[in-house]
Amino acid sequence: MMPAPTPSPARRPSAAAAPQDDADDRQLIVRVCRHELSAFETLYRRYHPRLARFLHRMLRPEHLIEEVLNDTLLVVWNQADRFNGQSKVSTWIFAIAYRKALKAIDRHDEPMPSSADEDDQPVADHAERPEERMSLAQARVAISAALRTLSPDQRAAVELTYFQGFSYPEIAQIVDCPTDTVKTRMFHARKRLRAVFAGQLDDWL
Amino acid sequence: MSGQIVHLEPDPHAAVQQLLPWYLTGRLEAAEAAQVDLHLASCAECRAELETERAWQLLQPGETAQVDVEDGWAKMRSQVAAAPRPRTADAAPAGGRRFGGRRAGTSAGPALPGFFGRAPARAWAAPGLLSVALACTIAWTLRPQPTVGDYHALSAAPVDGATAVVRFRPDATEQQIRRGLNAAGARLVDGPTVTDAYVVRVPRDRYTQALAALRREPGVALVEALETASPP
Repeated sequence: MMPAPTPSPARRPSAAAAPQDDADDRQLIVRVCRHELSAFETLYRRYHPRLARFLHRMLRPEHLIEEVLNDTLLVVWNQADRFNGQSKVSTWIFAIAYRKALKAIDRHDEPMPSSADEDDQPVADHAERPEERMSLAQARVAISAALRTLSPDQRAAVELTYFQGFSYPEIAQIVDCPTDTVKTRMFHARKRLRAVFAGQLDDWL
Repeated sequence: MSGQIVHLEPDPHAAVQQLLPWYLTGRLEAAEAAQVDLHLASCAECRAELETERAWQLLQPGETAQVDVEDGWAKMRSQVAAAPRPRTADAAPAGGRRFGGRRAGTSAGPALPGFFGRAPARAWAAPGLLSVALACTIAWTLRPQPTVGDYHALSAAPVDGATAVVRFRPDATEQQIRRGLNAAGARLVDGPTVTDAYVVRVPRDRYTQALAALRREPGVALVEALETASPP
């Protein structure tokens, strides 16, 4: 039985760009527009871990990650003046990374699940053996494997929501789709994750 | 219409279920969060779902790519040093023009007021929203451009004039723009930029007054000085 809800002091993931972070990012972008390499280096180091993580979720071959990551930030260096200030800097940069990742997936012809068939794929057999409780490490491996079975669009939605801390309107900007589509992608991704973890999460609640 | 779009709003339960991930991460608007709070108080299923969401977030895979920031930066620095930055107009559009452009129904940068399509007025009314774009425009405009001197032959303004950036309101008429420029003794010398701004040249000895005159014009949304106000 679930307890009554404690109305949410909902958590903001640490990865989410707080207003001050975005203000700092904007200052850096202004300086990058002036070709200040030191500002670009600061921006590079600030976004490298987040993009590495995001691209790790999006791309399979490890060697592509650094290539796409640097391609993304090279666009930032070359086209900082194209940032028009109507979104967060992080949203703009992740949009570039997302498009670069999709192009890399196409270029390397990775066999990725499509949005249409992901619900039919087997992901793990934990749900069939509820008597076996997953350890934390096993659970993390399982969730990682489950994420890999999602389509790139759904993986992006999950990663950007849970682990990068973007709102759904921001994700819609990043992946260039309507907000309802973001919600729908998340809905199907969560359904998939629920199937993997059926009855296995009690230990972690 | 995309087959992926599912409208579940008429069902409050389904609508709340879709919002739970962002409720958990604290990334909902206040009104949406209140809607979820209200529903959770009476829906055990959604409360259970919320706890599941929380567990997923706690269980997030910790591993990340084996890419080293120092290696990456070293490669990037040499790449940047080896290649000069392209002009914006010549660059591929991946960085900004396409960003949101499709939904805005526009094909190029200058039509920025419709950038995200849904709330252009709010977007441009936000305090400081233009600051980065404008500063970039200024920096880009003022950077050394050895080959563009002749381009400015468009301007018949005195060569000792002083420049400023002006952005006109999206609904400004041609008549309003012309009247504003005349009132300030200003001439357009460049633009529109990607932020839909223009560079104008005004008499240096009346720089402050000219900018003030521009700001008074109803068709002018923003005026930003590019030079110090003091006359020579």
